[in-house]
Amino acid sequence: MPDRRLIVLFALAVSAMLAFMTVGLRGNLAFVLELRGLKLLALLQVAISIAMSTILFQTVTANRILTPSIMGLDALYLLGQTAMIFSLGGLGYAALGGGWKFTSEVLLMMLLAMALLWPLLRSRTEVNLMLLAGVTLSLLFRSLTQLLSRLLDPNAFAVVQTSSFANFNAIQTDMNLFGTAVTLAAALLCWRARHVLDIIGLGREAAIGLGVNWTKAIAALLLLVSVQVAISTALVGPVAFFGLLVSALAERIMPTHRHGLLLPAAALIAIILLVSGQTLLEYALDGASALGIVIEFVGGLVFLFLLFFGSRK
Amino acid sequence: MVGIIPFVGLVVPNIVSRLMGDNLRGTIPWVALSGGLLVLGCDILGRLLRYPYEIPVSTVMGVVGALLFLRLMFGRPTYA
Repeated sequence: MPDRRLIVLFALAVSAMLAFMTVGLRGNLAFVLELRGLKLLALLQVAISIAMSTILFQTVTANRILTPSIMGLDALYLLGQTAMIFSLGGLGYAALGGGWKFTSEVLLMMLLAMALLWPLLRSRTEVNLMLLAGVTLSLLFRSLTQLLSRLLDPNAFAVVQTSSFANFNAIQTDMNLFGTAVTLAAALLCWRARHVLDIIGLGREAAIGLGVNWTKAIAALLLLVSVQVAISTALVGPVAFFGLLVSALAERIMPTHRHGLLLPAAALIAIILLVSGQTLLEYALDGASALGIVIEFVGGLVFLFLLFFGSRK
Repeated sequence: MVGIIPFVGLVVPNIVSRLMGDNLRGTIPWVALSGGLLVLGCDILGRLLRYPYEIPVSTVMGVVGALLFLRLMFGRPTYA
């Protein structure tokens, strides 16, 4: 018997999706539905990836303020992308197909994440220091990306611009099938790891005492988080505070530490927020504002709120 | 005058006080000098990296400063 709140969330998510597909339908139905369907699929991928990666990351680091994007993982993805264009040249990069492009970017990003964030996660650093290090790291990644793109020739730079231009109004839909498969696989892995996550949430000593191979589990989770961040960043570009907003809401609605409930709740909340927000802005307000900006605004407020007033552990 | 240059104020005073103690009267001239030195060095680096074009000093400073800052944060010997 699934939790009643989950059912309500699910119903809300489904109705948001229905609204997204049907509000203001006119013109060539087949064309409009295909366009919206592709967009919806991308939004779902983004929502699920961001929600789950944030929950995973927060469990691994054992605090409720850090998110992958605050630690600079999405900046890392963009850095990997630019580095690939830098090494392959604009033409070589463009010649790679969508799937290969994404796969190699994800592999590169995993490598970088393991090299740069792994030491930070493994040593037991305090939260404040971790936050500071994360902000510094993401600034570093961003500066490196800028530096690399300055070193590129104009043609290659144009490739960088087109491939990192994604946002909520210009969702990249060229890798939908591949991205969906990866998203589903990652979500499935998360779901299967839910009991391990429950144990990891107890802290390092308790988890080791209960028979979790800590180093291995943390490494695997970090890799999983990198994949999910890569998906969402590839689709809509960096989104700083959405994950935080979602996880904070999920904690309020589901006051539990069980990931079997927390993960689906977070994913559903993310879907509801993204899809209904996009519907509202695109069809009700005629694209008067960009969803990304609204989300960053609300999420940023939540971040400040959590910083100042703390959150329930 | 030059836009935002990150990390200068964060890194330089910390390095100087690490080297010379925290007596402000003694260190302030050194902070000023080494701050200038660091920014100038980054600017020269930015001009050399892709000669004859230039890379803005803020970008170079972002990379160098972030690396220095991380080094300061984690290379710190722990007192007490």
